Amino acid sequence: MATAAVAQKLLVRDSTSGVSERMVTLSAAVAHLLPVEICRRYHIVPIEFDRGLITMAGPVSFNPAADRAVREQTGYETRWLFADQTELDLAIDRLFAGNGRPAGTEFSADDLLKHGLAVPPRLGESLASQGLVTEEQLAAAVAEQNRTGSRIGEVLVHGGALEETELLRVLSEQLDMPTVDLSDFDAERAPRDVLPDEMCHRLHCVPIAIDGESIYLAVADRLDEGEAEVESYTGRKVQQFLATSNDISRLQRRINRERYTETATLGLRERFPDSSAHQVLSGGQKVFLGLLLLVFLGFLIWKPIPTMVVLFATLAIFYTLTSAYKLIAGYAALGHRYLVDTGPETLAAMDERTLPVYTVLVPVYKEAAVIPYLVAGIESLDYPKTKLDVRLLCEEDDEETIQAIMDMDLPPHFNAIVVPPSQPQTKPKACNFGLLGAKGEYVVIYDAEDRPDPLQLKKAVHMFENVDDSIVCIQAKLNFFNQQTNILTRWFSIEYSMLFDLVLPGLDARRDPIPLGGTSNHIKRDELVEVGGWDPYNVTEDADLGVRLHQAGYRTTMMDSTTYEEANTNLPNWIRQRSRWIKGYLQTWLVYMRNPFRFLSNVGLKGFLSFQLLIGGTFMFLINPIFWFLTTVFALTQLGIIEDFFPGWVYFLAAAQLFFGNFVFVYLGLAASVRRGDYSLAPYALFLPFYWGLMSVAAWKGFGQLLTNPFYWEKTEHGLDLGGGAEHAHTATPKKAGVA
Amino acid sequence: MADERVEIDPTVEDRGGTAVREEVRTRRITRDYVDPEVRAHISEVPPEPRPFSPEAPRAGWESGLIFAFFAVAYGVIGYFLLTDARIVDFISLQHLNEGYMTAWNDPPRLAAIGLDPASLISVIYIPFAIIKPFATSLVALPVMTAIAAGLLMASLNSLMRNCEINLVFRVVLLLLFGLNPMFVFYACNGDPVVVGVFLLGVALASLVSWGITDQTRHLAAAGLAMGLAVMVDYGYLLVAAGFAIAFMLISASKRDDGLKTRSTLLLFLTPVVYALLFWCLMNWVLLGDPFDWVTAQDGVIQVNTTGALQAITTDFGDSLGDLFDVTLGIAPLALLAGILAIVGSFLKKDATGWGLLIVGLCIAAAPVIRAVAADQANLLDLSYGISLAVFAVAATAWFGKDGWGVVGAVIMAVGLIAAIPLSWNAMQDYRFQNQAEAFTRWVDSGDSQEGTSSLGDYKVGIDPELAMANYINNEIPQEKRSILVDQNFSYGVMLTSGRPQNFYDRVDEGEEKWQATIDNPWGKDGQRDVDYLLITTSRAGDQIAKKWPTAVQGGEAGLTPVFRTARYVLVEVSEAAPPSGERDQESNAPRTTPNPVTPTSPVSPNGPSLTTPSQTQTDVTPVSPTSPSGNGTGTNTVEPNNGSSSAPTLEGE
Repeated sequence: MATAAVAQKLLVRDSTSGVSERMVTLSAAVAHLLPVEICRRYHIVPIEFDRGLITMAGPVSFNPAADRAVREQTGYETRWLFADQTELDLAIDRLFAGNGRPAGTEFSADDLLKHGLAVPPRLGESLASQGLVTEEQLAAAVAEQNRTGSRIGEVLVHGGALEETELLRVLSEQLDMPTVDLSDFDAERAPRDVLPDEMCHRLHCVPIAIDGESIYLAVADRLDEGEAEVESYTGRKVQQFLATSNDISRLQRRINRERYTETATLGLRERFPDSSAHQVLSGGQKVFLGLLLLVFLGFLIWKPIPTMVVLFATLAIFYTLTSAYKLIAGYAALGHRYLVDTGPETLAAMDERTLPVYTVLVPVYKEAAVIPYLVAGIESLDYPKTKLDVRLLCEEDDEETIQAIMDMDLPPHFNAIVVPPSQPQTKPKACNFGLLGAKGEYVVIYDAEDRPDPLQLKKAVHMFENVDDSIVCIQAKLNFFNQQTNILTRWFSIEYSMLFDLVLPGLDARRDPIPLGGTSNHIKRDELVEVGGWDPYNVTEDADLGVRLHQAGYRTTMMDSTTYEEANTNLPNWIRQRSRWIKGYLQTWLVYMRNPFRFLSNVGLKGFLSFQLLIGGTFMFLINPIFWFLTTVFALTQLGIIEDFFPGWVYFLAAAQLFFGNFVFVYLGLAASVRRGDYSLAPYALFLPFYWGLMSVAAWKGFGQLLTNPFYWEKTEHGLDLGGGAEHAHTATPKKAGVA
Repeated sequence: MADERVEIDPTVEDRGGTAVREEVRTRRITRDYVDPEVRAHISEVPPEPRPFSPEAPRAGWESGLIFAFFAVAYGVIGYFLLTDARIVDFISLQHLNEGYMTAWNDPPRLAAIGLDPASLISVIYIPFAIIKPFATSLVALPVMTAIAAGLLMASLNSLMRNCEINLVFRVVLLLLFGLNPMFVFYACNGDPVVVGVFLLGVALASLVSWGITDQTRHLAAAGLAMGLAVMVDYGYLLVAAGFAIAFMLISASKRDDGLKTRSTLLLFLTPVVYALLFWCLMNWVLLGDPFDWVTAQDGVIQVNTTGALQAITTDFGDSLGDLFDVTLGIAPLALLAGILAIVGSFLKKDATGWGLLIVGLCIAAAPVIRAVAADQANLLDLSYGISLAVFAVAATAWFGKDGWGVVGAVIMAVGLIAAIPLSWNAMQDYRFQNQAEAFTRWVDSGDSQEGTSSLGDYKVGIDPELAMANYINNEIPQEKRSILVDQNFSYGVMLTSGRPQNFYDRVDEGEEKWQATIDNPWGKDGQRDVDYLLITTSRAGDQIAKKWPTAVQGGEAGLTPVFRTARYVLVEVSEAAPPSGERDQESNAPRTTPNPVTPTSPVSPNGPSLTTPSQTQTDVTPVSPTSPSGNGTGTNTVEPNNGSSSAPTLEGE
């Protein structure tokens, strides 16, 4: 039996651009499928063979002549990977000369299959021969492997055809390595600080024991160079035990529980204290606002009418500028085109083998009923499952949700992460916790009830690959799947259409800072870590992050892709949610206004003004009721003092705002609905002023809470309106919102 | 690093697992952990909305250049039209005065905008009025319409570009359109017509672009343009209805479902309906009747014409005849464009052509309906030809789409070339017009037209206003609210004086108090309410003249004329009210006592000046008393007050 394989490795890449490198083991048996002359002539070497498909390693550019020669010589389909030419030549020398066999010795494909010499595919054969997968499943998995470049075992496990433990056992046989079950492993027994965290994450291993001579590592795959690295670092011999990938991650988190919690909670605060909302007002702000209040009161007593005139004039000017800015942004959006085409043809042409691992963070709290929908939504994503790192972030006290996830027995790309209890108990803290150890090159956040556009991840990858490096974040559009439930959901949908289809694309067109929406923001992981992740003290951490990225010199752009969420159907629930958003915007404004001059120098005048008008524009919801009250009182009583407050130009501005500003916003809502194709919503846009009234109620609630309970996270109940699946929702809908 | 014992045996699996293997063999079906029902529900999520449709080509710099070129050109011509020809459009004069009062009255009041048609023009003039001399010198008039004309040209350029007419043709066609003397005149004279036509052009360009791209922004642009156009001229209501039908037709031809078609209409019509509702609300709040604007037919009262043409009645046939004259005179291409729209619709199977045709018919029908409804022939003004010309350009350009660009361009060029001499002739001949004839005379001779007559019974020029403003600024004490005026008549004097705060009008304290002051200018407590009355004599209807019909002749006790021009008389109010009996006895008897004064010549005997009384101290010397028909500035005869209503019918719109 020709088993004298040369134990030699070759670093190959999936594409010439060098994305996704991996080390493959070369086999002389496979290499000899091709005559040495052809290998030397074209600097190519066969590295894998399976069922009529021969995988070749070639130099940095694809050579059609070489491809034709291989096809004609072997009669098989080809698949190409790429390697350095010098390395290839060296490999050819060793494979064909130093193995004790004369160059030119040939093996037939039948020989290879018969003797199991096609090394990588042998796993599939093993699984099939042991009856762990069917021929059909194997064939489908091989097809997916060829399409995505993923390993056959992973494809089978992630696709649900094979249990991870079964794969582990077969791998153990193949690699001649023992396995270890970490599910009940006592984290207290694991040695601490023997390897740096970064090394553990990179090599995807965790030390489970240590003695004078050896360090015992649980690994997801055999360490090669990593073994030497660990040995060099520890001075001990490495003993490797195979374990499931998720078990390793889980153990890593259990070992580092306190440290991860501290990083998630205090990371930003310690690295960039000025950007953290852990205190509502800085000392300087307290003094300034106190003095401002005193001066105002002094003037109010001394010259009440002129003081009120100045106050109302300032408000009217600010109000008008805010409205004008939103109108300009909305108009810019009507003619705006997204930076990169992400049409179906473009996405169909993407090579899935080059797709990176994508981390999907999904914070869930008291949302057991929504979990099936969440899983279905994630599973509908058109992205290789083997390249998904879905992290369901649960709070430790939320046993019901944790149990619901466990009950579903999800495949390994779903990773239930339990966030230890600590204050503040907020979504951003959970996201920070989930970010630690995230495997993806890119990170996206979805809410539990989200139903993203299936192509969204691919669109994001395609955009990231085709835009300027300064763009580190891409915001998808948000809208609602339950638009038609009641008048509130219709208004809410119109508002979202206006925000995500007009205003934010308008900001994008103008290159102004974009306050991110709650979910579906796709971010480069490294840059996200660089800017400190999310602020756990800010209740609109998304908007804050958008501004912080802009301040760091990065850009955010919009994507032509929609994630559908569940609109609040219940008014008190809606007010809770909205009050949190408004409180968060006020928090964000206060954070960046701690040092306005520095912020100005960081973002420039244009960005500064945009921030004032958009984030600072939140104050308008507080002011609205005052204006409405004064208008009503004046209309009914013709009270002279009110007339005195609005002399000449102040009155003109206020009147223009009343008559035309309101119309403009109503019309933008209408245009946004039509633009999105939500035609049935269009008539409801005409009644948006009533919706603004509700917004003001929420604004005052949020403002009050900012003063009394700034970090309180008004949890929004989800699963209230899951349509056809409502029975799922109502069985376990939480009755009480989360508490900080 | 502490050494530890290795204790991992319990968790290391054996490699056998025969039992496990047997067990898994029994379930070889891929596990589906997604509930099928949930999966089905997820798939009910609406698909991604339609992606952006192909964008029509855009060239901001090109539109910018075209706008700048025409705006500057018309601005310069307009400047000379004002300073050299002395042709001033009194409709625009009133709107500019309203804008100026809004900005500079003391205190400024929004109500100064008024509730007359084309109130939007007054709003547009407000920013122009912020710099006082810009408004009081009247330079704001040509600048405003030059900007509007420039914008119209840019819109037409976009329209033609979207219809695949190449750049060279576009430039030539725009020049031909822009050289039409009627358009040149209106692009330079401050009249609201050009603003309305610009908005119509935007709506037409948007209609065509929407037909091509289906982009919401074009639909919204058309709706907003027509909403604003309605606030320039209510006649656009009918045109807006035409647009609505056009959008409906195009939507239907695209096989849009009913919901989309309804939404399309809603988006288009909302601004128009809002404009109407807003106007009804204003009328209701301020006048007590939400439909006062419909019934009152209030228009700008042009005090530089006697309004004699208002008496000419009409019927449907006559109006159609006048419409034909206007169309043939100003927009002969429109006659051909209608045919092209029909032919093109059949050949291209494109409903846009039918839509354009309907809009064109509505544009033509609006003045006819207005004239017939009011039984007033002069409402079919020559300026309507400009709207038809814009329609003609749009329809012909659309005909040129889809590879027929050269044919369309050639037809358009021929029509536009023919329009130039025809327009010239119509401006000299057609009777219902606003000083267009004087414009042709000025172009012919280069002479000032001050004091001359023009078709439509107009007396060209602004000297009577300037003279009165001079006198008020220089010869009487400058006191706030000391001169009682009916601002619907005396707006020219108010504006050119530059001191609206000195005039007491309806806006200051409301109609009721103003009317009370007219009834008793001496006041109740022994202190007179106002020092002077400014009465307009060239047109009937001035409320002060109605109350004190002989005051301009010195026939009212306690009211002494002190200065007179061709169109105005300034009357001084005595310190104390005369006994009521004396007032009753003398109220209708002309006085024989000589009264001062009118200047021997208007402001600048040696030629017109752009400088207005608000800027200079012009020396005006009273010479002698004059009769009411004395010709301070010209040959106008003061029209005796006939006591008719102060609400003249619409004219010159």
